Amino acid sequence: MRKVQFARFFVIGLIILINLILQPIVFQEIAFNGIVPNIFVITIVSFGLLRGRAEGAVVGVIIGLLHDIFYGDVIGFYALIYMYIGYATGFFYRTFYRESLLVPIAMIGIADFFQNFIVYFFTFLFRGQLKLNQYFTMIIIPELIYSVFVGFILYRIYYFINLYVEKNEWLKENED
Amino acid sequence: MSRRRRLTSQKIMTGISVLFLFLMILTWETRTEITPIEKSVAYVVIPVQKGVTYFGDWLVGSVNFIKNINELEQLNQLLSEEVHQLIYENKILEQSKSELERLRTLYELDQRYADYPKTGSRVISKDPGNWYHVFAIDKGESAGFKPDMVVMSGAGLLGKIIEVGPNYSKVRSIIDDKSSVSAFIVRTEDLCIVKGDLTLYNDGLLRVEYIGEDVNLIIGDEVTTSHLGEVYPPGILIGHIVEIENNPNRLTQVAYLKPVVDFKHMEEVLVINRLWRNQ
Repeated sequence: MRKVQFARFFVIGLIILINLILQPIVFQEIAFNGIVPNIFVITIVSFGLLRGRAEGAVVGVIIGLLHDIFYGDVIGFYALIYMYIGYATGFFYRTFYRESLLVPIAMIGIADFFQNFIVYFFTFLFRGQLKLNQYFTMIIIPELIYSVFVGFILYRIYYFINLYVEKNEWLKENED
Repeated sequence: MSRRRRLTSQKIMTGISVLFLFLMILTWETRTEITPIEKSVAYVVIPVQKGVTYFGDWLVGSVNFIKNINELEQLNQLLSEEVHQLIYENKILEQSKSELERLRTLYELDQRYADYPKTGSRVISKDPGNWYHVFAIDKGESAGFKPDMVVMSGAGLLGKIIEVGPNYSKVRSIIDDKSSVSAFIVRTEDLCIVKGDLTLYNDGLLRVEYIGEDVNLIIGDEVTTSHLGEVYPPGILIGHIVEIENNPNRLTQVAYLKPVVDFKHMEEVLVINRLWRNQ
């Protein structure tokens, strides 16, 4: 049982580290018109959908805290948003066919919209930046579309990684 | 059973939420010094990020080299001609410079235009989201950097350091929505404030505010940092005015400025290795 969990922890840690490297460096290079897709949200939503509430929330907290540490103004802001995204998407765990892409894509879109709206609300609206429609057309909607496209590919990758890990876990459990 | 588990998970969620809210209040406005936990994370992540950045630069560089090898020869010829031209011009400039220095000592203006000590640094990563323009550079405490040190890129002002780690620092660029710089219009000698605005980012512009109504602006006016700034030393070029807004009913004018720094392609930056005003 210990070994099984270790493999999963290792995979999650590796995925988070790769995310942390990809998002601020590599994805800045493929920025389309200055807009970067949000792969943090894609990762968290994928974990929530594939592994349930608890793991979604944990992955959300870790990625959010790292985001706060490296780029945030206060500690806990992104951690809180990402935790709720992971937790909320976890409610759809095992309620749909994991092979189908409709639910994950819709959830990625909704989560990305939610995250950006919260960021706008707390860090821009509170400073008196009222041009909501401009922010919508300039940032929120383009990022949503781009994230959904990238999520289309990334969810498939997470799906296969998860399948592989789960298969190994099942095999090891039945060995004992 | 399931109801019970749900209840506990809700309790855990509320507990963590309260904890984070508490942390947010605790770290509000006090984020220039970083904690040991953050430092230990930085020791793992920053070297990896550095490696990836260097590798990416190398890859892009070698691909471009092969792609442009024909153009390079032509370019080389053009440039060598230009070098001769420039050497000639440089000599003339050197003569003027020595003359200028003589005159400056005469007027005792040397202090104001002193060369600031600078350290070079590389950009290693940028803010992952689309809302802020904060980026990380590859030197920190060990190079003697402190929060509020000014960052330049070649010809112009880029931003300031907001947080320093052991081997990295975070820089807020002047195009960031939260940034505002006390500035100076060179031709008319008037003061103004240069603010970043996210809605102007795609046009690559900055907003210039609090220009007196009687100031007669011209498109192309040079804007530099002012002598009133707490953080920025005076005389660093920010950019040129490209658009003036007409609003006759207000007490101040608003204009738009094009910065001299190319914010979309930053690789190397210069950090002024001295705090301008000790607070």
